[in-house]
Parts: sequence; C-alpha cells; structure tokens
Amino acid sequence: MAKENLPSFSKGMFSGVILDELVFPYPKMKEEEAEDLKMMQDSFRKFAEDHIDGQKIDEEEKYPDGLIDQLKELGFMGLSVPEEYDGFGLSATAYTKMFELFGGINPSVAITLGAHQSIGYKGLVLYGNEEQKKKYLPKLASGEMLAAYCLTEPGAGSDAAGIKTKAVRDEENGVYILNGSKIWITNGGVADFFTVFAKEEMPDKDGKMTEKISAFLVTRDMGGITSGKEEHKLGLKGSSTTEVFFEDVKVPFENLLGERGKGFKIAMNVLNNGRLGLAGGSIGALKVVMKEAIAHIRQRKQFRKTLSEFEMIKEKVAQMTVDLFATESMIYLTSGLVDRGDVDYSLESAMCKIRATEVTWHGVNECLQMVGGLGFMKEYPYQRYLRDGRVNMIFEGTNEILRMFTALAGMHERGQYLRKIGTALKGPIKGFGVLTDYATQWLKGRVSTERIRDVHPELAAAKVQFETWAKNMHFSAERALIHVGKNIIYREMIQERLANAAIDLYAMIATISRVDTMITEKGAENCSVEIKLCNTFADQAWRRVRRNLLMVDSNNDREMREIADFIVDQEKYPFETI
Amino acid sequence: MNIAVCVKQTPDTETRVKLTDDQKAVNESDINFILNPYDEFAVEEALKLRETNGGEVTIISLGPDRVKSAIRSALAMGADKAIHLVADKNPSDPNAVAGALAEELKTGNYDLILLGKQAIDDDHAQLPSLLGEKLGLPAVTVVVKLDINGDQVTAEREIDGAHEIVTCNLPAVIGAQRGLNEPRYASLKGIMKAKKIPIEEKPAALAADQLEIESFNYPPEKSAGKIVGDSADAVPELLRLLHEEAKVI
Amino acid sequence: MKILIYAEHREGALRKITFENITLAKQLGVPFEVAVIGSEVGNLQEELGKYGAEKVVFYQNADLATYSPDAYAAVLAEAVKKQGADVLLMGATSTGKDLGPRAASLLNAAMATDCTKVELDGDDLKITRPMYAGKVLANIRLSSAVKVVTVRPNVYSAAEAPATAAVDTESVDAPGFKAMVKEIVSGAQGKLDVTEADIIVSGGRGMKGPENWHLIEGLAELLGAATGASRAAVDAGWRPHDEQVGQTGKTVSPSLYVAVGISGAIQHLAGMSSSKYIVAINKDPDAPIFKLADYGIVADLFDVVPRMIEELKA
Repeated sequence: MAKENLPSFSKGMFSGVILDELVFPYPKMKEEEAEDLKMMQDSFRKFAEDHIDGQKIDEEEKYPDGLIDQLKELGFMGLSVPEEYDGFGLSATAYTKMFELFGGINPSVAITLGAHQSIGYKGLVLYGNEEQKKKYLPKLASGEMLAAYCLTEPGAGSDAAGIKTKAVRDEENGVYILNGSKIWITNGGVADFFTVFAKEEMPDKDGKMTEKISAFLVTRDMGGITSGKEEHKLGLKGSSTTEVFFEDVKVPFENLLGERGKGFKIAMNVLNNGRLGLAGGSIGALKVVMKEAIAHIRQRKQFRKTLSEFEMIKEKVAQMTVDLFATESMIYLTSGLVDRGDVDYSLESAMCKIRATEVTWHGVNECLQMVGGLGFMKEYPYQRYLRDGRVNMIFEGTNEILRMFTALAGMHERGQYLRKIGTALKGPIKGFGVLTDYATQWLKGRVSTERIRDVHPELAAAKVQFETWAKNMHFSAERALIHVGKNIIYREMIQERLANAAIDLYAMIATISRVDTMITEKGAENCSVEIKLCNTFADQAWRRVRRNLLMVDSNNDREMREIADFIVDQEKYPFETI
Repeated sequence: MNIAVCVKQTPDTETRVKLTDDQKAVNESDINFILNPYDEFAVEEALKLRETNGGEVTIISLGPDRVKSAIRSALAMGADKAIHLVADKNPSDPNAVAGALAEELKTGNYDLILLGKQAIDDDHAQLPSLLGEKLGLPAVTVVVKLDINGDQVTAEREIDGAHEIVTCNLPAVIGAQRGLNEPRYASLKGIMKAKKIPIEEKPAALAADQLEIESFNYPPEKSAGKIVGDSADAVPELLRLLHEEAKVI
Repeated sequence: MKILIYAEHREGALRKITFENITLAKQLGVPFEVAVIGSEVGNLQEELGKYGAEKVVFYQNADLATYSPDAYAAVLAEAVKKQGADVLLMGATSTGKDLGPRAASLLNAAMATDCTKVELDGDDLKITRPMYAGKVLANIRLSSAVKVVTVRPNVYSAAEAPATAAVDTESVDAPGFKAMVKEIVSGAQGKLDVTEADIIVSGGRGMKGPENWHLIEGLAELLGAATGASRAAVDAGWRPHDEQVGQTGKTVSPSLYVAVGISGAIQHLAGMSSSKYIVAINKDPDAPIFKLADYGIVADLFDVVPRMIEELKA
C-alpha cells in the first residue's frame, strides 16, 4: 500500500522549509544491485543489437515476430514484480535505469514494456491483496499475461474523474457487470490483463447513493472484451495502441482492486509511480541521439572546420549536456527517494517527467538541427526519436496538468495554513486532494530552516543561489495565495511559473547534492567537469527562477487571456497586412 | 559430461583503446569490460552439451578481482560452478596463463575443456594449443562445428580459405570460433541464480612472464586521402591512380 | 642467433608466407635454415632456393601425410633442437597459430603471435605486434632461450634471391596424432581467404542485401581479390562469418582493400587499417572510412561498382 502523510521535499520548499536530509547525500545504489543491473543491461543490449531494428519497426509499424516472446523469456516483463511472486523486484533506481536503456535503444519497445509494468500491473503490486497477487503476478512477471492500464475514455482524458465506464454489482452472482470503452490503451490489442477504472454506485457516508470510481483486475478470458483496430500514430509505431471495449464483462468481486470507491486514488498513485520510468526512458533516448550527433559533428567539415569547432554548435552541445546532467540528477535523486520508502515523491516524480520529456524533446531537436539536412532524412534516426518522444509530453499526465498539480499540491498545505482562503484550496482540481496529504504533522516540532547544509566550497555559490531563490519562491507562492485567493486554481499561468520555478530549484538541489557527494568520494580535482556543469546549471536556473517569480507579480496575463478569447471567438487568425 | 570453460574478461569491441601517458600500459579507466566474445561461444557450446549429455559446467577465469563480473556473466548464461584464479593483473605471457590454468584443470577431471580461440584484447590465440600440450591432450582450434559421440570428437575447424574436419578422443581442448553457435542471452532468472553461486577463489600459480610488453604505440595515423570524385564518372581516374600511383592493380 | 623457418605447405605447394619469412630472415642478416615436415615432400627446395634458402631439412614420415598439431609440434620441436636454432619463425596462418603454441610449449619458449615487425637488437629481437585487433601496437621482447615468432602474412614482401638449397632428409618418429585431420573441405569455390589475399573487396550494410553481392564478387573476380564483409553484413546473415573483417572477425593487411558501402565502425577499421592502400566507396561523405581511405568516391555504390566492373572488363 502506498503510505500517506509522508514528508515531501518540494512541498516543504513551497512552505519555506528545506528538508535537506531528504536530498543529502545523493543516493547511491548498493554495489551488489549495481552489478546485477549491469548484467541485465548487458543482456538487453546484446539482445537488442541482434533483434531490435528501430528503423524497421518504425517503417513496418510492428515488431518482428517473436520479439515480445523473447523479451518475455529473458525476464524483462517482471522487473517490478516482487521476488516472492517470481519477479525481479528491482528498486526504483534500477528500474528507472533499465527504462533509460530501453528508451535509448527503442522508445517503442520501452513503451510496450512500460505500459505493462510501470502502470499495467503496478496497481496490483501496490494495492492488490495476497490472493490477487499470488494469482496474477507470477503470470505477469513471466509475460504469460501482458498488462494494460485502462483509464482514459473518449470523454475523459486529463479529467480522468469524468469516466463513464460503469460497474454494476450483481450480488446474486458475486460479480460486477462492467460496461464501457477505453481509448488509446497502450498494449490494448495484445494485453490479457487490464487494470480498469470504472464508476459504481455506492452509499456515501450519509447513506446517499453516489457514483465513485473503483479499480478492477480484469482478464481477457472473462469474456466480453474486444480490442479496436491498431491506431496509426506519429511515433512509437511498434507498440500496440487500441480502443478496448468492455461489454457485460463479469468481474468477480474478488477482482476488485483496493477498496470500493478508492479507484481514483489508485489510478493517480499508479501514475505517480510510472512517471519515473517514463522520465528515465526519455533521457535514455536523448543520450543515444546525442551520441549519433556527436559522431557526426566530429567528422563533418564545412569551411574546412569540423562542425564541432563552430561556436553555435558548441553551445548546443553544452546546453543539452548541462540540462541532461541536471535532469538525470533529479531523476535518480527521486528514484532514491522512492527507494527510501518513507518520503512523498509525488511532486518530484511529476517534475522529473515534465523536465525529462521537455529536455529530451528540445535536445533531440537540437541534435537534428546540428546534423542539418541529414536529420530530416528517414534513414537517420533523428526524426524517429523526435516523433517517438513527442507523446511523452502528453501521456501519463500532460505536462500542463502536471504543472498545475505541482503548483497546487505544492501550495496546498500552505494554503490551508493561510486560513484566509479557507477551504477553497482543498482539492483544487478535483481529485488532486487525495495526493496532497502532506505531513503537516510531520513538519510540526521541527526547526524550520531555509538553509541547507554546507557543501564543498566549489559549489558554495550554487548553494546560496538555491537558498535565496527557494526562499523567494516560497514568498511568491504565499503572495499569490494572499492576492489571488481561491482563484489561484484558475490562474494557470501563475501556477505554471511557480511550477517551473520549483522544477528548476529541485533540479538545482539535485545537481548540487550529486556533485557534492561525488566530491566527497572522489575529491574535487577529479570532478572538475561535473563542478562546471553544476555551477553552469545553477547559474542558468536561478535566472529562469527569477524571471518566473517576477512574472508571478508582473505580467500580461490579462491581455493574454483577452487575446486568446478574442481569437477563439473569431475561430481563426483574423488579421491581414493590407 | 564434466566440462570446464576457461574465460577471460576483455574490453568490449567498441572500446577506443587509450594508452597511459608513458605509453607503457593501456589506460583501463574508461573501459567497459565484457566476457570475451569468443568465450561466449565456448560457454554456449558447453551449455548445449550439458543439455544433451547431462553433467556440469565449470567456469574458470584468471585475472584481477574485476574478472568476477565476466565469471558472473558466464554463470548467468547457465553455468554451474566457477573458479577464480586470482592474480593481481593479467599476465602478459599467455604461456604463464596456460601454466596456471593447466594446474587447475588437472585437478578437475574434466572430459572437455572449452575456450575461445583467442581473446580480443591480447589476440595471442595461443591458449587452446598451449593447454593441449601442457595437459597432454588433443586440442582443436578455431572450431566452427563440434560433434561429440561417446568419447569420439569430430570438429570442423576454419583454416585459411577452407575447413578441416579433425577427429580426436575425449578428453580434449576445443578453441571456439564465431559460427560455432549463437550464444544465449543471460536471462534475468539466470542473473539472479548466478548471484547465488559462490565463486571459488584460488591463487593463480603463475610462472614469470617470458613475454614482456615494453611499450605501446598507436598505429601510425593515416592521413585522409584523396576524394577522387562524387559520381561514377570518377571510376576511370580511380583505376588510373590504383594502377599508376599506388601500383596495386 | 640462428633461425629455423617452418615451411608451410598444403597439397604440395608452399605458402607464400614461407618466402616472406625467408626474406625477413635475410633482411635480419641472421643465419637460417628451413624445416619441411611431411610424408613426401618432393622438390620444394627448388622454390625455397629461389628466395635464398641455402639449407633445407626434410623431416619425413609416412604418417605425417596427415596433419596433426600434436604430432607435427613434436617433430618441429625436435627439429629446432637438432638444428640448434634459437628462433622458430612461422607464418601467422591458421596452421602457424595452431602448431606454434604447441611447439613453443615443448621448447619452453615464449611465443609472439601475428607480428608485423621483427628487428634485430644486438643479440635479441625487437618485435612489434598489434593488439586489440590493431587499435594499438605492442613492442615486445621474449626472454626465453628459444623464441617462437609467427609473422603476419603480407607484411614482408617476398623478394627473390636465387640460391641453391642444400637438402638433408631425416626420417623421424612421429608420435602423437591425438588430433588428426580427416579431410579438408574447401569453402564454396575453394575461394581465396581474406587473411592471405593481396586484394580484398569488402561489402557492408550499404549493400542493402545479399542479393546485391554479385557486385562485390564480380569486382573481386576481375581484381583477383578475396571477398570480405563488415560485421553488419555478417550479423544480418548476408555473408558467412569467415568473411568478416574486424575485431571479432579477421585482421587483414592486403595491398589493396576496397570498402564498398562500409561506413567504418571502429571495430571494422581495427581489422583493416594496416592495408597498404584503401579505397572507399560510400555515398555518405562523412563516413569514418574516408578518414582512412587513400582514395575515395563519394557516390552511390550501385552506380560506382557496375562502372568499375565495366571499365575493368574493357
């Protein structure tokens, strides 16, 4: 079960408290697990070299015969199934590293594997009872059953609470009768096991009947399940994406996942968990594309110089490196938080997903730009990785929704504390409330601090920048709450800026922690490049934070809203030059 | 069938070999070490023979502590046991390695000793023959096909431009060449199982190296040559250059 | 110092590397003799004399008609002792690599495989041999009393230096025969092996499929070349692995290496960079192979190769 009321670094930061013991020292993988991980990576790499041809998969819009079966046999379906259920029980860190590799080698394969285990059966791992786990997890680990996560519906995308799929209790036969349809389900055409979210009528605490979301473990052999045709997509073309229809599916009561009516919380927590794998997969892709592009710019000459000698090319290479380094620092700090087991990481994993998918999108695009016309050609991988990576900013929570979540959940406690706005902040977006049970209790009685521990002198300036701007963000958030009041939930541009500031700040502290810990281990003289990356990132990041915070108070938001309303009203761009 | 497979840990083939500043040694700091690719064929063949004949597969590797990860890779493929002959570094003389391996192999009562035809770092390609001689056993090197019937061995070995069919009796030493089989990938189950297999450590009984590497050089860098043209029309000029300038045709 | 050169022969014909080694020994200025092992070794001394051999010893035994590494090694080790040689020079051929270590072990000798440079340094030898498939060159020294050296074919070119070879014939015991060659099966059309070939035409991923290999073979035939392939082409199953050039394939040093549709991955370059002349045909001007090539044509190989065939035929 996911635990509640745990400390959260970012929520603390919004409230003006820096819980530095959560982020220092930088987490490290145990040597034994690191060794296992390397072997798993080698095994996959070797397999992929012989059997995964990204270009071919993209062109044929399918995997070669037997590919998925081989992945099953090798064990790659059971990464997050605990060992006692015949899985490999990887830590979040090792799991994310594996997805980094999958995403680098082939984002399509990564998504097939990810839909199965990052979200498909993750609900069962987190919320299933012993019997359910015993019954299904071994089969899911071996790949005998492939899993899919079924939340999205034609009428309910980001607003997942609006799903229409119904589950009706048939007490006589001890089954739920499930009816409805889900769209854009990854693995929809190939899965045998579905974690399905549906509404059921149940009495609320006053005994009145209301509709609430429950989660169900549904298998194809229950009958009444059909998959639509394979969708044609911009990218990730090997993976299966279909509509899934449920028609009078009889789901035994014992296949209810978690408590009745708690399905939304389960849905959100599963996604919180899945986001790190997606973030890892993203940066894995960027690393691979960078390697390709770097090989090219070292070779290719124009004006009798290699491209790598030109300053604008250097700028691109340096910028993507700085951003990637910081993003990677965030991701593996967060996976370390997950592995500790006693921390609320919901905001951090959302921030990792936002930053990783955008840094990758931008980085891959810059790589494509660096190699020029060649990047536009189908026989080179740049355009494919660009296409494959595009959806990362959309699914598992659009980056916009996740920014709202970051800002609102971050401010939630503070909002309650500032009673002026009363209960308006509770559940700012329907459902988010369940994820924001931030430990006010836990915070009480602690010495509130705005400073972090001392770091190596080489990083001292970055540390001060972090402290200064973290404090300023707290003030900005508080000012916004006071000024805008409960309307903060509609002021998305303010949320966006606060979220962006929080992401940069979290990336700063993650990078500082990573490099500081590295210096302690290796000595500063052996970390000169990392120190440079950290300080360059911190320097760029605080300027962005400053700009975002300034714009919380001073901006064109009113004009922007009015322009948008006008144009939408016109239904087109209505201006002409003459 | 009691089978020993001698394996070596080598840098992977993608490695750009960098020398230390004094050019006396290879700089190992950025190297990704793997199980020598030819040894993978040997491990696979051993596993296949075990599958048909029963028995046990023992991995033996000589070298510093880091070679344990190569041993684990071989165990993860499915081998049963492992022995690490501990040395503080890889000897430069294959004869010394063969001596130490032979000492160990003598104690194991093996029916078959498999190993790669060469290691992709040193490229000595001497071990299978050296082991054969030191153990008084037949050795067949560069083997691309192996049939074992009772104690009758029929091996097909690659020679320059042709193949030889070689026969001998067990026990024997076989040097595996690419083409012998398709090595399996280590499954996650195999990796987990391999973790639980203890690696027996023994000091390597090494004689002094009689082959010493005094220094290394990078191969002379070829300066990029002439681009003769950018279409098939350049062909006559290319042929003229090969004929008159290079004098190779 | 005295060198014994092992004369490698197959089906009654001496292999080129034997002459190359004679030339090397003459260059070093060290006295040398040649050992021939077999059942009926015929008139090989005439050809050996053509390159400057003055003394040839035949080690004869009817059983030695069949090659057996252990039996041959025993005879060869005896020969080294009998002739009082302290260096055994062989070719780094499949036979040299098979037989050499066994003889070395019997002689308690250190052995250097696949050497590309052998020099005299006072009373000692200074030897250079590639490691990591040629990514680096190692300068080595053998400190054993007897040294075994195998030399890479095509590195030293055989130079004719007519002499009359005196011949001794010795009947020897042939113990061993633990492993025996039962038969030799030639490859497809008894094709030329890449390690020995003077010219190699190699194809890579750019060939697009095995159905296009007639272009490589056609060009190779006109040039009298062996055909090679990159790892990508072998891994794709287009070509047999014995054609693979590179780190997990063969290392070659021909006079001319024609790389067709090969981009030049590091592990491929390692295997062929010591070729005397390299020609690259690739439509990607930035392919790493051009960095190494003496002559390049940046164009579609499907235009260039047919044109080459046409021109060579003319």
